[in-house]
Amino acid sequence: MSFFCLGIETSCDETAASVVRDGVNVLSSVVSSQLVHSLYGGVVPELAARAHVRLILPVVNEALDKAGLDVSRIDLVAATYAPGLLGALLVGLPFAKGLSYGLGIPFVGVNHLEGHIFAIRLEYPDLKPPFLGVILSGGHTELLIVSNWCEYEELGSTVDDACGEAFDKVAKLLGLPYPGGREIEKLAGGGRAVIDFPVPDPGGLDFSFSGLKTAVLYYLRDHPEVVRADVAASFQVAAVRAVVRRVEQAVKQTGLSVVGVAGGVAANGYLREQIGLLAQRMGFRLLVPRVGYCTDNAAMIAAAGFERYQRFGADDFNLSALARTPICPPGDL
Amino acid sequence: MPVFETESPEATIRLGERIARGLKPGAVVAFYGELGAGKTTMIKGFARGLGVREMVKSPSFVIITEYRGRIPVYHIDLYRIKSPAEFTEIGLESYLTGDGVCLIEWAERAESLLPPATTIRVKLQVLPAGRRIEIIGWSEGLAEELQ
Repeated sequence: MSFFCLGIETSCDETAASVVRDGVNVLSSVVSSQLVHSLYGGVVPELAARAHVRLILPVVNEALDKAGLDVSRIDLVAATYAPGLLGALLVGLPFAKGLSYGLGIPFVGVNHLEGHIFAIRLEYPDLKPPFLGVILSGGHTELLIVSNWCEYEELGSTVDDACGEAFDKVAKLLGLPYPGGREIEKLAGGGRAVIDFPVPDPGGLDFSFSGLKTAVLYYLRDHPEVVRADVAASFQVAAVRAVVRRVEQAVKQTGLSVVGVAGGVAANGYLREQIGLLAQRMGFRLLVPRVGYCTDNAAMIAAAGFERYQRFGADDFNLSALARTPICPPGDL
Repeated sequence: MPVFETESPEATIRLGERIARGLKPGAVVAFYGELGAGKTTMIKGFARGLGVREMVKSPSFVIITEYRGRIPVYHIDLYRIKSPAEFTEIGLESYLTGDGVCLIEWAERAESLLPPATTIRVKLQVLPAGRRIEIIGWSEGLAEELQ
């Protein structure tokens, strides 16, 4: 018999809902990209929270419609409880709890980062841990061992800016619109990576992107006539090189033969290409989900919620939203 | 008002650390400077001076990160906030008069809300080599101690 999980995600920009069958079959995934943000050069938190309130019901209804299910058929509600903007989390989480209470079905809270890991499983349903998980997004840069589903060992993270944040901020320095990641990639496509931007090495398996941003700032200041596309291409090469270097080290260190990459930056074509070359060279299996599963979505939340429910059962309604928490089960906090 | 020049991120961190040691609950430190000027870097020092042991990361995405030091430390980044109204509406105002120290990046986005009596302003400027750091609204005693 099929088991239907409704996933809800409102941790940052996107209001998203999805119905996933048996943990891996995506019946619908609705993401309401709040394009209104592009007018402001960044995510506008208050606006985000307000837009979530306005969008959540239509988005959930659309997810149910596309799945061809009445809400009464849903067996489980999963929602992101952390990490993210509190005002945004506090739209989706209480909504999910209310729905769960009203329908008399279980509720599960999902860590957004755990969701990104499950995005890989959505694309590769046969995937079995252990594998190396790489999460690269606007707010997060994480390298971890997925030792089992819902069990993680952190290897490294950023010591300053997140990888996607570096893309966004350098885009801003280059006068590009928000969101900057895609814009950088587009501009870089017409440029040559002729500038050697140094990327600081914080040691271990940690990342540091703040110094790269500053290096671009200096370069633009000292070379006002530079071709911007060359700066974008050079920055992209430097940022991706830093990621590839860490993945290479982590694979050597752990001996893992499977690497999964997720998060919004995994949508970057150059990054996919370069990690792909590394995979060929080192002989590991590289798994990168389709772009729609890399960027924030609710299918990954439903997938993670389903697995958590199988392993740990339902969560209590007193599970609170948290702005900042590592990737670990709510029960461990 | 004291003006410093630092030659490296480490020197900026050390300066922040020394200034922070004298801060008391309720203090607000407002940071100004362009992208890459070193605001987050200097805040790493402030956090250290306030007894925070955790790694301080950029909160541009999450807007606010709380740390536990000898007193609570609230690292706030208004990079993605455009007006004082938004600042108030997401509930940040309550931190300004709270039990800890607020370290605020892109403080000009909520300038009118900063408490006049308890706000220290730190202006960072990129020099050809290093940073010029101007500190405004800071007690003379502390300044002398640092000279």
